[in-house]
Amino acid sequence: MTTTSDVVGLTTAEVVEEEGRPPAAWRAILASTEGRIGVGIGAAVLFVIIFGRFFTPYPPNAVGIGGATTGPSAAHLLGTDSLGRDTLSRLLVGGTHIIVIPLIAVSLAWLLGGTLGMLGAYRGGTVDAVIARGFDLVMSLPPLLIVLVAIAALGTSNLVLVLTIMVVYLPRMGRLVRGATQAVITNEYVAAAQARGERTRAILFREVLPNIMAPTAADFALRITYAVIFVATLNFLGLGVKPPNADWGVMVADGRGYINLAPLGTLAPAAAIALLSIALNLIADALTQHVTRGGREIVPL
Amino acid sequence: MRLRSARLRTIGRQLAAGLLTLFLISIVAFGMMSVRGPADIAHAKFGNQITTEQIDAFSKQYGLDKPVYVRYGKWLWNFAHGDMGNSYVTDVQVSTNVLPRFERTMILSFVALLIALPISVLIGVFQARRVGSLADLSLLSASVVVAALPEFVVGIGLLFVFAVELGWLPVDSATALTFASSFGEQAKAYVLPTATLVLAIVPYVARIARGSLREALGMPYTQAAALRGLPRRTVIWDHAMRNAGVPLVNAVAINIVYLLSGVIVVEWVFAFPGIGQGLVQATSTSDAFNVEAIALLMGAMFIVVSLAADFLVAYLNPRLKAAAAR
Repeated sequence: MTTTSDVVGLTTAEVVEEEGRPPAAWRAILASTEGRIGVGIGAAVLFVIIFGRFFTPYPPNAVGIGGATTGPSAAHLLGTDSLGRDTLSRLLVGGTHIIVIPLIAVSLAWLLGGTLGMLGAYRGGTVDAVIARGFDLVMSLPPLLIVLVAIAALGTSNLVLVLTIMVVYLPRMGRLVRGATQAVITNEYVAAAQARGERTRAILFREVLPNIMAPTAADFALRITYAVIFVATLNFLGLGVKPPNADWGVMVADGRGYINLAPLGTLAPAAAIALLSIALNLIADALTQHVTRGGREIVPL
Repeated sequence: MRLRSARLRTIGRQLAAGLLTLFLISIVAFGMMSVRGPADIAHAKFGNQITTEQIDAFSKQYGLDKPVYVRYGKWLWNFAHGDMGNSYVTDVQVSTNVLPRFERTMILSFVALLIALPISVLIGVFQARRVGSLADLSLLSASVVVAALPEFVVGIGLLFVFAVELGWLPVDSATALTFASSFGEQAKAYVLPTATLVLAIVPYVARIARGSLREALGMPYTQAAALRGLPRRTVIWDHAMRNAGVPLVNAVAINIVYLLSGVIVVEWVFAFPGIGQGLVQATSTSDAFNVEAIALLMGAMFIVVSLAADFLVAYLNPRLKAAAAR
């Protein structure tokens, strides 16, 4: 579609679309100590989530592999759960859900919310008013309450989780994009594009989008962090992944009843979730500090 | 006089906005819970063997055969008059399930805020006075780690240390709170849930307190006060804190709803019989009237708390009062 052109804005836009965020973001993360620690821990946890499934000592869903609710032993390094399933094997496969669902949901929220936000800020007037009021309306409802009511009404499934989490984050991300766009559209290159007679879509995605990537990328990282905690929490509450599939949040909840007998059954998955969310937080923090340059702004969840 | 009427108008506007939000919550909750038809509900309750006649009788008994808006209107009318209806999942009056829970949740959240806010401010002040020192940096990293942890992970950690390893506190709060027991036993049941909520709130608020006080301490008026030889305590608490307080309360006001949502999870961790636990239970059984009642009560609680915080902001900031008067 777009050939290599003489307009500088175009080439930056291409890079942005391919990488998902400006290349400077990675350098900003790796430049700070907390960012490097975050990337280190995060890489380790991600490795377990992606490749752990190939190293399971036992089939993760096989019942009665060992005795019921045993502590750590040579055969079962982390012990077994109440159905005699191997905790280590379940730990190795149980991390997929809490990273995939947030990634899809937040990306969708970013795409839809961001488009609406840019459109509102660019068009102004009634369009903007309708979009902004709509955002306010959804944001006036407590997030956990929305998700719980939706699950109560529709039952739980991956689709319901993705959609409700998207609904929670869409206005929050959209509002940020709207604000960033309002700051950008007064620039001359936007006026120049308008004078060239470019269509709204072209102006928004080629002129505006590349210039609001930095704050949006930091926001995106922060939302992923929140969404991971959100999904882990829903799984813990028994409203996410259905048994018998292994999931860290579900394992924490299941093991909680046997915390006197086999504490590792609940502590090990809890630690895995803790490491993942600490890593993501450190990365998001490093990115936010790079963008705002003055400490992390407190963004409501 | 003008000032007073302007403030009354602001209060009125905020109250109206709060009521509107509650109304919205009621519509969303009731609308969502009406997606499932009476046949689904009857099957979930009685199994798949029941006949069409039985389904019809069931839906007539609970008024499910009427259109949604009629049911909504009737439900809202009864709710406003204190009748929350009968659950068609448990056949128990919703109010007998929800109201005692609501009371416990109120106590839990209130005590947690009462403990967490002063502690956070003290930690924030402690850090702001020695920005960049070892103590400040270690507290800062500790707060990043604690804030990053989901509430249930913190709760499980506390449960393991204090209830399982040390055996000081009960593993579940339900026994002491739902059956008759001594005041001491009941108080013990509150300790771990409160501590978890406090741990969720403190790093967040302390960080804001540190930031805003640090800014105020760098201002010329603070330095002037220090150079005049005023005692350090007066400079920090009288001069700097008065100005740092506004952004602090503001940030707390914005985030308090999210901080208090943690109560849902915390209650589940400790089997604490509050409305959060009630909501999760009702959610997993699709118990419509209970979900709706709890959604409204929680919404009301959040709105009251954030209204209170708004008033505090207006009270602390004379400029806002003046702006409201204009």
